[in-house]
Amino acid sequence: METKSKTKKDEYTELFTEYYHVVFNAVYPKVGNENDTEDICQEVFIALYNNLEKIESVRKWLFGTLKNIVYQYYRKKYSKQTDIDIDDVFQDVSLTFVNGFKDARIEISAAIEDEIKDETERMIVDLIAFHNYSYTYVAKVMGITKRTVQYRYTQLVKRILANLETKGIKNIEDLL
Amino acid sequence: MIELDLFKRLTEKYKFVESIPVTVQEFILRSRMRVLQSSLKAVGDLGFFYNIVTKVYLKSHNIGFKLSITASKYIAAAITATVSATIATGVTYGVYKLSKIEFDLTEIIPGIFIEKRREEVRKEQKKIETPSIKQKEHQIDKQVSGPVKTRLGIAALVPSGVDKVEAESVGRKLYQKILKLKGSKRVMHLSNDRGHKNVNRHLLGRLSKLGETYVLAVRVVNSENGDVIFDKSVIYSDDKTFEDGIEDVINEIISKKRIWE
Repeated sequence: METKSKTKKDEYTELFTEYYHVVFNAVYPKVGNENDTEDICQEVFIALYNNLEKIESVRKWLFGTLKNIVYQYYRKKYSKQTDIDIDDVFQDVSLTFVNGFKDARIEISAAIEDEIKDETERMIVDLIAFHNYSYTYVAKVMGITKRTVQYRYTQLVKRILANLETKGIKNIEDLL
Repeated sequence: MIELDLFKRLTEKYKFVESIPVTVQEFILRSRMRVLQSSLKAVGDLGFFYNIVTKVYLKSHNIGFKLSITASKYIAAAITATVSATIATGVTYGVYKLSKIEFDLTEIIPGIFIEKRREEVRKEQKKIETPSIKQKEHQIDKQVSGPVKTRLGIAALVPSGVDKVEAESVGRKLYQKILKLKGSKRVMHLSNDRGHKNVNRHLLGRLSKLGETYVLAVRVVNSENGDVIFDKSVIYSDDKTFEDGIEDVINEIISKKRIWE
């Protein structure tokens, strides 16, 4: 029994549990179908297992890989359409709105990135703010208590808003 | 909370939100275990034990009790040991029960029962046909069918107005006294079927009671031609008379040449 030290599959299982929701939430809005999303997730994670020793930043690697796999999915699904730009698919928001909107979006995004201290906070903001998960659900997914989720999310939001103030946005209402 | 509300409006306005419907959120929780196991299977790294480990690990996450992989392994090992012990006990008990049922099957299924009974009968027949038993039978036949010309078979006395036991007792006395005088080669008790075919003289009798008087009527018949060779009746009223009477009858039977030649 391999209980004494962590094996490759132990490490994989931990990473899978940590990032499965992140990958699923990133893929689902682009695909719009939970079964296809599940297949894509499986492909992404099999690739993760096979490259585990070489990967330095798991999050970056996962997003890079899932972009490729979603691209392949698009190519298969829309085989007649040859001019698909995968960046368009992932960054369509930034193309739809320009100038002030785009600048403000970049500022907010940077503030969020600055204030996220660890993977747990990233997951919390990802799930609650971007994907509308409930506190209860996030607690279940992350294996922590609902109170912890609520507390950490509130603290993080306070820090992000304070960060925006330091960048000259004294009144957040101005951005709304 | 004002901050939370502000931040929510901000993310919504600037299109950070890519809402995941509740049904899909539930689907993710269900699919997580499935995808983890199928991906490990695809890379050939999912054994029976690790299957349980992943289940324990993810289930603990779902209930908000974040177990480590190592702790999950210990729990999985405990579960596996318990289940194995239970299965082993169950199998042992099942085998024991089945071995019991095997005996009952011969009773339940007629085919098996009949075959078993046949086997028993065959064994009994073999036993009977063993040399020692055959030799014994042969000796008895030889004893019975010796070089004698005539053999007297003494049948039980028929009771008439007396107890059967009383008639048997008198008959036995008669038999034993003749046997003593003539030997076992020449006298047989007819209640024993063996050697019946070798008897050619039959002693038949009746013991009757009329008031205080007993009547013993004895007749010897030649069974080869049906002739009555000897016929005598004795009437007595007390023990002494009876003993004398029976002695007279016996002496007459012994001395009657036609009976023994």
